[in-house]
Amino acid sequence: MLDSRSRTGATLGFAVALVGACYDGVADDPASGEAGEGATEGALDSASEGASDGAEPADCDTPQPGPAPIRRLTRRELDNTLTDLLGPDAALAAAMLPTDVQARIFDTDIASHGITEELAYAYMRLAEDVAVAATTDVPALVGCDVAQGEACAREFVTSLCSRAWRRPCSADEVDGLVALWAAGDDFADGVQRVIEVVLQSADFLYRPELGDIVAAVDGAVPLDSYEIATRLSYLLWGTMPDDELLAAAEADALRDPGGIATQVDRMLDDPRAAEQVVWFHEQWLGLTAIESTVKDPALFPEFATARVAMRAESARFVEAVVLGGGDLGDLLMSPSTYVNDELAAFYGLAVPGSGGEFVEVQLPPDRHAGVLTKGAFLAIGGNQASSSPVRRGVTVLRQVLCGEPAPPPPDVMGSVPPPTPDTTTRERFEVHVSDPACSACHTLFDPIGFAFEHFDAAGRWRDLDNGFAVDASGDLIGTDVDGAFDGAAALAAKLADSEQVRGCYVDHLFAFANGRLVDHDADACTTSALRSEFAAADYGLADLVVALTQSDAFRYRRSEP
Amino acid sequence: MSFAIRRFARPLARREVLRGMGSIAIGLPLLEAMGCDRPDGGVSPRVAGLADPRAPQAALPLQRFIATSIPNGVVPSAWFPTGGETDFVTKPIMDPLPEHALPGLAEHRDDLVILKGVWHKAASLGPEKSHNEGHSCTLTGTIMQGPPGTTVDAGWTLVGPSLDQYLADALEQIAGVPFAKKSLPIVPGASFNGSMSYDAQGTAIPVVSSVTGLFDELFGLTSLSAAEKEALRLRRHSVLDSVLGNYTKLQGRLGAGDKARLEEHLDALRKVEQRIDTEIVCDAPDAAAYPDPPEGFSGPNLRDWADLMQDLLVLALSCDVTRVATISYRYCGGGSSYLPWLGFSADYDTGEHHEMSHRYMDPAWDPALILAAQWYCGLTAQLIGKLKAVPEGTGTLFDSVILFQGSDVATGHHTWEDMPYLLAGSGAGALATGRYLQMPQQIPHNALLVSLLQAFGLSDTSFGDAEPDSGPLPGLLG
Repeated sequence: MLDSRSRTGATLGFAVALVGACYDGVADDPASGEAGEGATEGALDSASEGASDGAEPADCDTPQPGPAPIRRLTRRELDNTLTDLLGPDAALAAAMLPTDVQARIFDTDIASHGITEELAYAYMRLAEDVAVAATTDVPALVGCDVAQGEACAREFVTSLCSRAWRRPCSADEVDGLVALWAAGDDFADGVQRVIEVVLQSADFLYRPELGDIVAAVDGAVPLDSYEIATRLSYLLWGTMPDDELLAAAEADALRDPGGIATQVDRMLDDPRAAEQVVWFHEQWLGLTAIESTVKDPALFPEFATARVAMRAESARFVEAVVLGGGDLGDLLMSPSTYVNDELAAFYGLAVPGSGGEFVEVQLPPDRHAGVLTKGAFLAIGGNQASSSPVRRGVTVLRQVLCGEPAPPPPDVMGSVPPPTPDTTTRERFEVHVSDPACSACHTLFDPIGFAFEHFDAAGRWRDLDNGFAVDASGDLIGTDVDGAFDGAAALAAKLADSEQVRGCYVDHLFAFANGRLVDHDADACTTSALRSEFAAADYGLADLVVALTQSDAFRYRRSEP
Repeated sequence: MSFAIRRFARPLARREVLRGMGSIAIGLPLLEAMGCDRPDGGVSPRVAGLADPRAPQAALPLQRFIATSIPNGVVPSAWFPTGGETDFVTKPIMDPLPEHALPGLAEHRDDLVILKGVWHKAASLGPEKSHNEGHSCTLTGTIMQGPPGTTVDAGWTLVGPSLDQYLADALEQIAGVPFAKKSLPIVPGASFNGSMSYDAQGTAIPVVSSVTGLFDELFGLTSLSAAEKEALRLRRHSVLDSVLGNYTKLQGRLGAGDKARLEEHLDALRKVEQRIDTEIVCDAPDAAAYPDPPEGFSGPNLRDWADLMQDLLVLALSCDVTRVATISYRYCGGGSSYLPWLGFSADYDTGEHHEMSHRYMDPAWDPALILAAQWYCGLTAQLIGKLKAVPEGTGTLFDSVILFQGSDVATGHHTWEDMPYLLAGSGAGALATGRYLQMPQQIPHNALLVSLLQAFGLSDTSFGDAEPDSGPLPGLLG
């Protein structure tokens, strides 16, 4: 059955593998500060379902892809696809569709893609509205002489079917659609019926991957070139294949890594790739929430408008690092950022005089390091008036280190001690350290959060918190880079050096690309190959994307019973 | 999904009833009792209750459920009445606002059940313990699952179904036929946060946000002649048949897991096929009277949107298009709710509703918060008035209704005890109204959800995992 049915109320399904007694009574010793191999590999069970010792799998010489459950187009992908297939007016009709309810970090996760009767009805109405919008100029749409009747209809049907279903349609399929056209009241009505069927079909809404079964090798079925074209276009552009990809598919040029590489190089240069890169990172770190984040207006009066610029700042930074040949270290440590006049003023920086345009600036590297010191991340990790070390720490622990802190016990109401004039934020959370009922878990993430204490609730640098000196020191525990740090830049340097973080990033990209969480058993060959490629490329981020498209798992599926 | 049904036999199989569907609008005699003819119907033993026309054999009265919600809670001293269970005196939030042409809930005092001591336990156990959980879990009674200290974008999950969906399924089973619309979730803007309605998997039911969109859904076909309607019905069947064929053909080539996923989609398509056979029996109102307000509902046109949507909701119920509806007007948290028509400033710091609601410490903000709550309650009072204005049988449409008004928090500082919940309407005599019920101690609101199901003739004693097996709310039902 659908994955979503097995939602048992567990959180994101990450395996919990941290040392410490706060995970379901696992009686490990509290961290001694030295992560042994078991702990490291346990902690590498990131973004995954099912624990694994992470050992090198026995045989990866033949393709060993993990499961690839059939995927449906996300709302965003559907909007983009309709625009590319039938034009922007057609895509407007899609505005009536409900927004996907996001059940996991990434919108691509099939756990979010349940089908309800209401949604199926909405797809029907969508198809009807798109059909009407697309047929305002029938001759222009079909591109042949309407007076030729069925001959022209057949030409149109053949073209629409193959473009919409992203593969050549069989004679039977074309015949069936032509018969449907013929049942219409007139040429235009027949065309509308065809569009309605094509857009509601599984071949459009879903991405079936059958592959070349005859060519199967040890239970791994190679995907055909059309299926690979579809994987490439939705991964890199979030939309249907363009003409050049389709031509490559028609020439069956996408079954080998070389053919894929040629397309990927071209596609990464396209602006749509930048949009996808930003979209992945925004979801990874939860940055989309910035536009609905609220701060105390008495303390941060300009925040309500600055937050929009903050989103753009992070987007430009990520895009520049990833598509500019940057590596994971750059993503985590680069002191550059992008500001316009308004945002520079908000941060208290020299105003660049560029108006609304964003320009790159360099910030002090002992203070600012990478995406985690961008306003968007910091402000989301803050309450309305004060920073939230717990929130920031938990986010870094979960999303960057792929650790999984257990939720608080049910009788803890989770109330934050109110701010007082005599303490810093950090001091308010003292009870998390002093009370043994709290400390077992909180020592895993509070200190990470304290690293960011030089940034206030709105993401701006501060020397003092409530008039007192900021203490941004802490200790990392239960990771492969344990030890002391002082400040966000020092923390970022540790994270940039961490195998755990590298593996975690790989797992998240895998999840986004594959529409499901990593399964460290079934995906063992894939993840170990990706980790090796990532390392061989010195953790170049675009290289990891390329490696994904070059992997066996990208070109094969396993045969299912 | 199976239901514990208190009385009567299993209803007719769908196919048997649907076979006559082409003429159902004309064929079922008791449907003339609603829609626009409104002759006198039979009088059931219950107060002005009509027998359910689709299931006359069931000897159940016709009942409808409406859920609504006001944002950001209340100022308790201006909400909870003084006095006892039946001699209570309402407070200012229930007063009318004549300058806004809004009645007050006090006008319907004898039709209300005001509750105190109901605890939104589900929200109090959520990851953020905030408006998201308060709102989304109002009708589910389940605990939102998500990493603690995170926001909803971190990937929360919710187990459903919500009460309205569960009830709609039950009512359809009881009636033996699908309604033209299973339910009507009216929400300004589609978002996980804004919806109160979820299916069993926690998927938000697609909401209705556009006036013209809803009008078109309800009445877009009624301007068609009978022949045109039939032609459309046949055309849709033809298209859906082809679509079903496509799914079935693909299914045959897939492995077991994918086959099952496509089977779910096929199930959904089959239900759509049944639903397109249902008819809407109503003279369509003039479409020109139902435009989308300029700038929609997010700006100063919220009142126009509310008025029009309420009218369409009432029409949908009176034409028996559906029996379950939810309606809300503004999302609660998030810092973008401005109410300039109440004289609130456009400055974020001094005029945004959610921001002001958080200044609970300072009573200087109470008048604004009371006025805001009063305005939203005025919309509910207006809706009740519209329901009362529709004759039905020997009474009105309102006689069959139970309306539940909730809120996403109890007070602006995210408290969960003493939720400002109230009910309006007896549901054809199932609920004794004109009461102020105070619980002896805080009771999880799952008990209220259970009581609502029982008021509709179901025998459930548990609803929602925040408080399983809660049983009903003490003293609410007889």
